Amino acid sequence: MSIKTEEILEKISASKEILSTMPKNNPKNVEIFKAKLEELEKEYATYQDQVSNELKKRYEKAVKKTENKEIENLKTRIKTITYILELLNEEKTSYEKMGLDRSIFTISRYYKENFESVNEQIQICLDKFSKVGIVVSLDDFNYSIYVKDYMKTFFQELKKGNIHSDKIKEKFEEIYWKCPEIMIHIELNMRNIYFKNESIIDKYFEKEKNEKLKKANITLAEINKSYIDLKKQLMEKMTIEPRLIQEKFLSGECNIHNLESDKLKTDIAKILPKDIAETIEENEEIKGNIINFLNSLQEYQNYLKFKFIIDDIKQFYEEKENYKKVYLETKKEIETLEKKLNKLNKKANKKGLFGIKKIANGQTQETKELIQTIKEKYKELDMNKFYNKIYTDINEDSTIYDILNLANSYYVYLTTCFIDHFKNIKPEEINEKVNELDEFLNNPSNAMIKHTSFIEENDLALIIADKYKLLHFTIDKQDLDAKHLGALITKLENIQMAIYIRKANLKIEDIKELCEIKKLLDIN
Amino acid sequence: MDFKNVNTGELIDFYKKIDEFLKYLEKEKQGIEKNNSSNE
Repeated sequence: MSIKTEEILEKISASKEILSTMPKNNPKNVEIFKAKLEELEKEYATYQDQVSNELKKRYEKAVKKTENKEIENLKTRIKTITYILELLNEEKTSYEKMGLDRSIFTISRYYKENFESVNEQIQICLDKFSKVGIVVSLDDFNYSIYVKDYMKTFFQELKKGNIHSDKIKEKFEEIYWKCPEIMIHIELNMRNIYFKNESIIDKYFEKEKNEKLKKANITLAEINKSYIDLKKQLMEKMTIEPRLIQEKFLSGECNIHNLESDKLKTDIAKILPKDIAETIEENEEIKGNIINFLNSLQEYQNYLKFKFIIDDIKQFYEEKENYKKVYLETKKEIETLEKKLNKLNKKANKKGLFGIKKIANGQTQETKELIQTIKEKYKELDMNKFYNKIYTDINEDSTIYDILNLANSYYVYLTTCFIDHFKNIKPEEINEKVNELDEFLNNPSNAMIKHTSFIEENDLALIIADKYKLLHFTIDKQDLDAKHLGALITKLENIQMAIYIRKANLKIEDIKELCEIKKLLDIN
Repeated sequence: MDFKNVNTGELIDFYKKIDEFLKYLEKEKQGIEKNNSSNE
């Protein structure tokens, strides 16, 4: 403390002393006491302002704001490669590559969504078709008189740039009471447009893939390697980036009190023998082992999180012969049913177009039932497409990664699997889970899942425990039980963070002070 | 006030002590006002 601050603190004690001895026995004395209180309040509020300004100044100076250009460059390069990898993904058909599976799935679950988001998905579908060279117009919406009627207004409002207009809402209201299945009709019509244009869309992706490969002048294996290398570089840079480390603590994502010296020592003592724990500061090898150990535990934790998907796929794999032809068979059935629907629609309107008069008449019971049958068949088709993939792409050499990657390529299967497993899951939570799986599969530190057969599924907990015991960690298979695993990971995450803070040339004490200033001065 | 020779940790403590004192003054003021209104 400086002399001045010391003086002020002494003055505070003295002022308290004076105040405690001041008489308040009559109105005059009370007024004198009050005046003294106000005088002191004014004086110390000024001091507080000065200290507050100085703390703010130091906070602003210490908080890193400049973005690391290397990180931004790596992100851009990864984004480009991700697009190429998506084009090269052999698991996906053009339907998934276009992303139609996601949009159409949202439309099909219109009862779980809001009206605005369903309309947005309709627009997204139209954009997706346009991106692959298919211009969709009102003429393509022939599934039912109601679809034609709704889409006519939709296209008119889309042209005006307002798909959330009152006119669309009114049109929906008007149609809904006549045909509550209007959104299902739109969904089926979109699927029908895709099938009608499937070969053109396939060619578009084939051409795009060849062009990108030619331009990049590398093989698929090289692209995969390059993707993993870049991801590793990005992760390494991000983990020791001062700005990002500070942000984690200032945002509340991490708690600096978990990194207090005594707590860290206790955490280290729980996983390493005393003689090694004492050398941790200067022992780079053990620091590297701690990070690898944590990566293995996180990979194992994610594996446990998504194990139910592997178990589900295993069941279908065991009877995979049954799924050899299911996709093509269901597709043919749909083609036949849609031809029949087309005939019924033409019969309902001799001109072949839906007129206003006919709309007022509604549709026949036969048409209604037929559309319901087609809907069920499309549902079957989505799942059969996936089961057929199990038949064609999965074999006894497939790894856990291969299985999860296949599931991750089929949004409809994956979301159905999540809905079955997590009862009452909300739509936004489904997408969170999908993203979590995607992030897990794209983690460049994954080692076990890429080398472990999904059929044998060795005792991964034992394999991890044995490996890190050899590297001197005091660990048992029981420590990797579901109920202990989270706590062990938290300990290692704290130790890892302390290592990264040091690598980033930051100090735990400094971050602690920044967090305190932020809280005291209520800085956003 | 010159804070050149005061490190940030000490400055945070200093801020807290002033804040504590201001809260003490506020409490005293409220006590007086409460007494005044009950006497009335």
